[in-house]
Amino acid sequence: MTAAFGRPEGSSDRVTGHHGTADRVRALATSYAENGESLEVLYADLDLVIDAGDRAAHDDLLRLAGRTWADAFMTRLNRLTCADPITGLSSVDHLTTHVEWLGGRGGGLEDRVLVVVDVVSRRDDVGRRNEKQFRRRLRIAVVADTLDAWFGTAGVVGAAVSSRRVAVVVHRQEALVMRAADLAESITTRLRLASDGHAARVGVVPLPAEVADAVSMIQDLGRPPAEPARAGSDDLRADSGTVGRKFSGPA
Amino acid sequence: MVDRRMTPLVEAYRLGRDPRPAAAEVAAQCARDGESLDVFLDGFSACLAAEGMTPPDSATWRSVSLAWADAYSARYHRISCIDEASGLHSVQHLQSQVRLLLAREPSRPLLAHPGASTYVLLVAELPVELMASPHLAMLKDELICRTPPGTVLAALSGRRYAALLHRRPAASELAGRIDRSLSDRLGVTERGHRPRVWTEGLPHEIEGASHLIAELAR
Repeated sequence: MTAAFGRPEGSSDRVTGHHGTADRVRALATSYAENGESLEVLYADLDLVIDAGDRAAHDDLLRLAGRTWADAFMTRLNRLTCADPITGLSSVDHLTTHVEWLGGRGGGLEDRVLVVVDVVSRRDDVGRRNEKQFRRRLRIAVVADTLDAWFGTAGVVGAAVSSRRVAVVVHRQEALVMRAADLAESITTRLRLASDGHAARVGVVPLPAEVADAVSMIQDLGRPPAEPARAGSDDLRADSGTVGRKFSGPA
Repeated sequence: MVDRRMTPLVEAYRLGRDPRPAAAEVAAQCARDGESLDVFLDGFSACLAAEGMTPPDSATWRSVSLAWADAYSARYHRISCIDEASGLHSVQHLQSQVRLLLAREPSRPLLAHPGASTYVLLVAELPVELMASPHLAMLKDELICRTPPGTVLAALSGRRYAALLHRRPAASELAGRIDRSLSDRLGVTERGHRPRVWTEGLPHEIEGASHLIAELAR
């Protein structure tokens, strides 16, 4: 490693000796990377606070910051999962890949079902675009949290297939269909949907035996409905779910 | 060994041009290959030294590191289950699947999930000296052909791949077979560099397993 790009001989000592700030710069760079701030922002902020009088020490600090930021950023990148860290829900892409994996292990998909939750509220149509999006995101987070409480994380993969619909793949259980109504009620209560004359709807859908059909079904769940759903319509009631028209509800 | 990918950047520096366009081009390649800023900067540095040029000034250093950061940020925003460079699963997908395997039943919080005991990571790596597209294709081919269908097969970095395998039947023997076959196909360099294939046990804690995968991906 050359003196230009490596940590030059004695550079760390020089930085510490002059400013005593090397550790703080490392901590700052790590913090910026972990909080999603760019390297450019870090450099710009450091330019403001580091004394530029001693050019060599200034450059050493920036190099130290750059390397530390890059290291922390790569660690963050490599430790990410396909799940949104806030809701714990995965991307639709991950859900379909997971179903392909389940089908590919040889066990088939017979032991799994999809639990599909729809939430719609009249309040969706009120306010500015950003406000509406924020409210929908918040509702999805509450649905995710409720599903987590009901099913736990063991063996469960779920995704927000649209801004108003969440689908999770869970182990097939006899009592699931009976519990779907309770789950719908629980979500309705938490989101106070009843005050708008709405209710969360939960469907339990067996996965098709063929992986390709299952993937196609999941992708269809995220598509907009052919017709707008009316408030209180029962196209996705708590039942042992059928695919097709019953899933053309609000998406 | 001089990294040929650095040529546009070295040329720009030699001619005194703005290094940013060339840096962006080279950094994008490094990001695709999963290489760290250290590797990127050291590669540039080695190329300049080989050409007998003076080390770059601070402004160039800054431009080059920003180009790397931009390229990686772009990669970050394109994360999906499939790694765009290799066509295999991404590190993030592997993290998700291992997390799923190790998740504990809420009703039995003290009981470690058997996933850690029943699954291993089979890791295959090419040394830098054997890095070439045909060699990577052979490595990928060996893993795809010799692991069961449906296996999560991830690109940890540009030259290191991993398969999430059931420990039985005989994951370590499979690792040995892939190792021998790869060495036969790729040969061994004059200095004895050869592909490496080994198995890594999974820690019982999700956090530990996540850390292990992140380290393997460095």
